[in-house]
Amino acid sequence: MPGIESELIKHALSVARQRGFAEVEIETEAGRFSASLEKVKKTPAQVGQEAAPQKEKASNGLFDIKAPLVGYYSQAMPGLASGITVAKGDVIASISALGLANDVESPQEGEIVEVLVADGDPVMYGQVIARMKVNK
Amino acid sequence: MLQKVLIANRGEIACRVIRACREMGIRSVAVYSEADADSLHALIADEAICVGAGSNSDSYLNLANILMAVQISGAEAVHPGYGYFSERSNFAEALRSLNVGFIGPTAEAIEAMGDKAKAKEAAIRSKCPVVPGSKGPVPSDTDALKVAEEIGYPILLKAVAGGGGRGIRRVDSPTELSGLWKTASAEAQASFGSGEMLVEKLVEHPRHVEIQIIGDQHGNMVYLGERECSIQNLRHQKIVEEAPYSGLPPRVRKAMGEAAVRVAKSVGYTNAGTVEFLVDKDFHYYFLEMNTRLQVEHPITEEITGVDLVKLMLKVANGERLPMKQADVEIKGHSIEARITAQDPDKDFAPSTGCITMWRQPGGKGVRMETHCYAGYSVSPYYDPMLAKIIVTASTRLEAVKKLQTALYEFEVAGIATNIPFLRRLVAHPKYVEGDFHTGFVPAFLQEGHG
Repeated sequence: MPGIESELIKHALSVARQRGFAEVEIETEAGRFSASLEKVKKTPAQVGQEAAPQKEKASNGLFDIKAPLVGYYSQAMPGLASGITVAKGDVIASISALGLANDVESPQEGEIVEVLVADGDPVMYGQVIARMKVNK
Repeated sequence: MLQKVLIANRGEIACRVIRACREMGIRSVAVYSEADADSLHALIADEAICVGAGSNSDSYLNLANILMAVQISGAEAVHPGYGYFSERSNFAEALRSLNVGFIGPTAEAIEAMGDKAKAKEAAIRSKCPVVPGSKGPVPSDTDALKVAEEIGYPILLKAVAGGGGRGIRRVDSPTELSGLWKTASAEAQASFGSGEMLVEKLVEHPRHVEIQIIGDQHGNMVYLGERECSIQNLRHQKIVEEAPYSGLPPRVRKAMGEAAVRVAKSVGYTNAGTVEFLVDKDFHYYFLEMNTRLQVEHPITEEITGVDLVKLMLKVANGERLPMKQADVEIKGHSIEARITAQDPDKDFAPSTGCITMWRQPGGKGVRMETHCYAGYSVSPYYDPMLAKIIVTASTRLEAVKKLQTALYEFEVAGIATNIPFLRRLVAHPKYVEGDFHTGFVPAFLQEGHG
C-alpha cells in the first residue's frame, strides 16, 4: 500500500487519543494524513493510561499497580510514596517511551503501601510498580 | 563480537537464535507476551522482557514496546527471526535511528524486494528468468491474444489488483481467450474495483525451489544450495521441505544459484536471504520473489552444508567476512523438515489450543528438533499454530524419508490435536517416497480422501 505507514498512523492516533487531542495531522515524504477525533468527555485526570489489567489480587489482599507499557519510570507530582492516599484515575506515575511521557493512572482508590521502583528505573509491561490497599 | 542481542520474536525461532547467542558468548534478551510467559524462549534467554498482554498487535508487533525493550536492555543488535518485523523496512530504519544493529539486510534492500513488481524488475535487470508475460496491464482482449501468441499457451489472465484466486483464468487456446477475458475482467471489476488484467505464462505442475544466499558487508556472497518446498497446504503454506532437490541437474543448480546471487547483489543485499523460483518439469526456472530474512526451513540447508546460518548472520552483522568462498560450499547428504502444527486434520485443520499434557518427541541419530514446547506448556490462540520442526538428515533421500517416517511414528502429543497423523500418511504416500510430486501434491492427496 502506498502512502504513510499504517504503524505510524496507528501510533499517532493512540497518542492523540490518550492525550485528548482534537485533531491529528501527519505529513511525511509518502503523503499526508489528517483526522479529527471525536471528543470523549474526560476530565484532565483521565487522559493517561490506566495501569495494565489485573488478573487476580495479590494473595496478601493488596492490589498490584502494573506498568501499562515498556519504558522508564518517573515520579509524578506528588510522588508515589507509601502512606499516601490516591483516588481512582489520579495520575500516579509517568513512563517515558520513545521521547513521550505517558501518564499512569491509579486503577483504584486506596492507600499506597509499597513502591517497588525508583525514579529512572526501566520497567517492562505488567511489572508491578506499587501495591495498594483498596478502599472498599 | 557483539555483546548483547535482543530477539524480536517468539517460539522455536527465538529459541534457535538464543542458543546460537549462548554458544557464541553473546548475552541474549528475549521479549515475550504475558500469554507466552512459559514459552521456552522466555525461560532460556539471559534476560526476558514482557512487551504486552496476549495478542500479536499488543506485544510482538507493538513497535513502541519492542523498541523500548531494545533500549532498556542495552542490546547492540536485534535479530528479527521470521514474520513479525523481519521484513518491515521501517523497523530496520527505526533501529538504525537508535544506533542499534539490525541482523539482516539494510532497510533499502528490504524495500527493494518488498514490492513484487520492483523485485521482478530487479530480476530482469540481473538477467534472471522471470515468468514470461505482459509488461504491465493489457488494454484489451486483442492485445492479450498478441501477448499469448508470443509466450505460448496455456496462459493465465490475472487481475492487476487481484488476490485470493479471484480474477484469475487459465486459458488453453486462442478461441476461448475472448470469452474468458470478459468474465475475468468483470469479476475483477466487481471484486477489486479495477478490471485491469495481466497476461502471464502458466507454469504447469511447478516445483517450488528456493536458493539460500548469504552475503557479508565486503561484497562477498555465496549460495548454499537449494531447498525443495513443493509440499504446501491449500493456503500455499509449506509443510514439508527438503534439501537438496535430488532431481535437479547440477548445471541448473549452478545457474539458479548464480542467478540468485546476481539478483541479491543488484539491490546491495547483505546477510541471509532466500530467492524463490518456480521450476517446471523441463527444469526451466523462473524468479518468484525474494524473502529478505531467515526462513523457517533454514535448518535443512544447515544440515547439508554444515553452515550454522544463525551464527553466520550474527558474524556478518558484526562486520565480519564470510569464512568461505563459493568453491568451498559442499552439499553432503539429504535433509528433510516437517512442520508440526496444532491443527486438527479431522476438523479441516482447525487450530487446537490448550495445555500439552504429554510431549514425547522423537530422537536418535540424524533427528533434530526445533521447538519451544514441552509437557505442561499451554498453546494459546493468539499465535501461529506451529509447535515444532523435525529435521532429519541421512546420506540419501530414501534414508532420510525412512528416518522421517520413523520420527513421526515416535512423536506423540496429548492434550491438543496436532497434524502428526496427517504427516504420517503424507510421507508414506508412494509418490512422496519416490520424490515424484509438485505444488499440486497436497490438494490431490486431500482429494484422494487422506485428509
